Amino acid sequence: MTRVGVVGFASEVVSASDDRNDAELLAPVVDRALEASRVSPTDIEVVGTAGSEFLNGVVGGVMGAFDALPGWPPRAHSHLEADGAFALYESWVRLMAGEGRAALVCAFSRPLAHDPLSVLALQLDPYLVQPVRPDATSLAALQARALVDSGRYRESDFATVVTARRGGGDVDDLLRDPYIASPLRPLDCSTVCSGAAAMVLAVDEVAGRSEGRPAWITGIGHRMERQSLGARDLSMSPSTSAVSTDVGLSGSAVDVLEVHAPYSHQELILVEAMSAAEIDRLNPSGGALPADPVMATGLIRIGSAAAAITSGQAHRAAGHATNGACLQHNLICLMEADR
Amino acid sequence: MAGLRAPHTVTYSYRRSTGGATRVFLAGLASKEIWASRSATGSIEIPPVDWDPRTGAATEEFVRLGEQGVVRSWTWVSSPGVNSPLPQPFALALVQMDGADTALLHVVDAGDEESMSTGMVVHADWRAEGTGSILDIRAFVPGPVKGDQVPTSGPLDSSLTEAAGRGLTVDVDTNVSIPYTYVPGLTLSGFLLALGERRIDGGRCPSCSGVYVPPRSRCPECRIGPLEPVGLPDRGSIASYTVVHIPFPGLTMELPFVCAWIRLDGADVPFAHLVGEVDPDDVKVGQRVEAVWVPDRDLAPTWESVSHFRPTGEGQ
Repeated sequence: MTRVGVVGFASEVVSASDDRNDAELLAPVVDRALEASRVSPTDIEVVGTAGSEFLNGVVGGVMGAFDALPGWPPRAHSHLEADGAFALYESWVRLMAGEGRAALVCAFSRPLAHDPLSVLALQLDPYLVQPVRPDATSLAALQARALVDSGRYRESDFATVVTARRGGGDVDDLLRDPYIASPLRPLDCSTVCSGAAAMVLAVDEVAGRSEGRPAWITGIGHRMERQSLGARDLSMSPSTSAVSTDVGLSGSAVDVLEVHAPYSHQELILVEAMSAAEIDRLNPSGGALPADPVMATGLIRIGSAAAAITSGQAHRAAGHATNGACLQHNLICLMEADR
Repeated sequence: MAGLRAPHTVTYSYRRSTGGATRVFLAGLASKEIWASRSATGSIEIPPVDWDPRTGAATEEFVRLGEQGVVRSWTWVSSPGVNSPLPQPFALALVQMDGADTALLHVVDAGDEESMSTGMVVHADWRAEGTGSILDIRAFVPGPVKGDQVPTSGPLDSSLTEAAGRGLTVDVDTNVSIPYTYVPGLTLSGFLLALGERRIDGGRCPSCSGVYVPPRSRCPECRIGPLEPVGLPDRGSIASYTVVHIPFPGLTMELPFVCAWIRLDGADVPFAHLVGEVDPDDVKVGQRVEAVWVPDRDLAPTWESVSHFRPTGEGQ
């Protein structure tokens, strides 16, 4: 059976004051990923991209980003309005189906709306939810409250996640911060920024040509829950549990686990739901809290896990990505090096 | 180099018709009634659904609930936005109506955060005039129902719905306005700044020598960049054109007018602009045209610094 491995990855996150457009942001990242992979641009037969025009407000603006991609001759290219991790999933399926031997997966993000996360909240049910105009942080706070009320975690656990991901700080000090949406405080919420990521996938025949150490994808899948927030137990993530079992993460050990949690409490829910037997290093990249280029954040988690393998720092690693309100849709990619 | 930035607001409006369970629910709210769905397995869902999410079986019936419920989760919105359902601080909450198995996202008008707690009893406070909107419930308010309101611990009515039979049409209007800061990027900023100085700049690919106007950050064919800046004349030829006769929202031109693909001398790709000072019937592919610039005092970093193109009369 065909094997597909991650053979190159690069990403860059930049502040909102960066004046580059999508193509200018993405092109150098694509260059670095291709260079690391040692796959020639002419070998790329499948291209998967992801981004959101709702975030930057430029209708048709994604087309501008395509100048950063190998453009001629035309390739099989699919663009998603979703996190780049879902473009990775689609590209993996297409390589497994024999549609090509190498793929380039990209995500780019310039959240130029004044309140980017609430723009995404406008994509909720337009009949019964949108008229109430919930903002994204308030929706996440409903989930955080449900988690506290479940008795499994406390606000001090949220603060412990914050100190780990944001590189320091004192839990008691954090708990003295005023709420932004109780029980969440400003540092519990990710810092939204711009960024881009590019990943090169190759089937074994092409991956074997490079001298690098591919991160072979041994399991990848995603599951989605109901859209009605009031019909879900928000303190749990059954979609994550199911996909963790699907891909073979549940009950097994990983050297590195990268979790896409834009809010501190979501890391607690996700790690519990994945039920890995052992996690040697959790979010060594820092995770989504300190830098959240929305729509690239999940692909960067998976790319960071892959990079831990390709650089020799891990033998088995997994990355996770989420989409939608309150962890509605979850994807896990489990990767391993050759023995 | 710093790029340009500009405010940019996107607005859009939809009128959505409703059907099935959503229509039943919204039509009920217009009459100050709260309707839920009962599945074959007996679970009572609010908002009501057409199919059981577990089995896919069609909803067996709609049942009417009372006006009281409990808060399942909540957060405090201390600074309501211009679009918020209440002008004063409020709680966003998941409210589980008595007798239901799922909760409804709504707001609780509680006065202050200290009055909120998970599990607290609330009841619906209705607007005077229902319109078939989730906001026909103005808010939930703390405490059990009182007076002429409908209390219950379960469905009031398990017969097939009165609301469903009413045949009311319920539409949901959505009006969205999103403020952005537009950032065109470094390459396009250079092009726009040149327009503000009465110049049209292109970019030449160092590999294939193709000249693009507006310039791009990389050659779309060779994927090489940056392109070499190249100043272009403000005259060229019509590559293709159309005559617009139909009005559309945002139209500022007098009808009919000519929109053309114009290829400047020395450029390899055309761009779209307006052609004026000519009868639309006299426009031809290949016709020579030149830019008509706005007065110097009106020059700005925008394509609108070129008011339009007009025939030069060359070759006629």
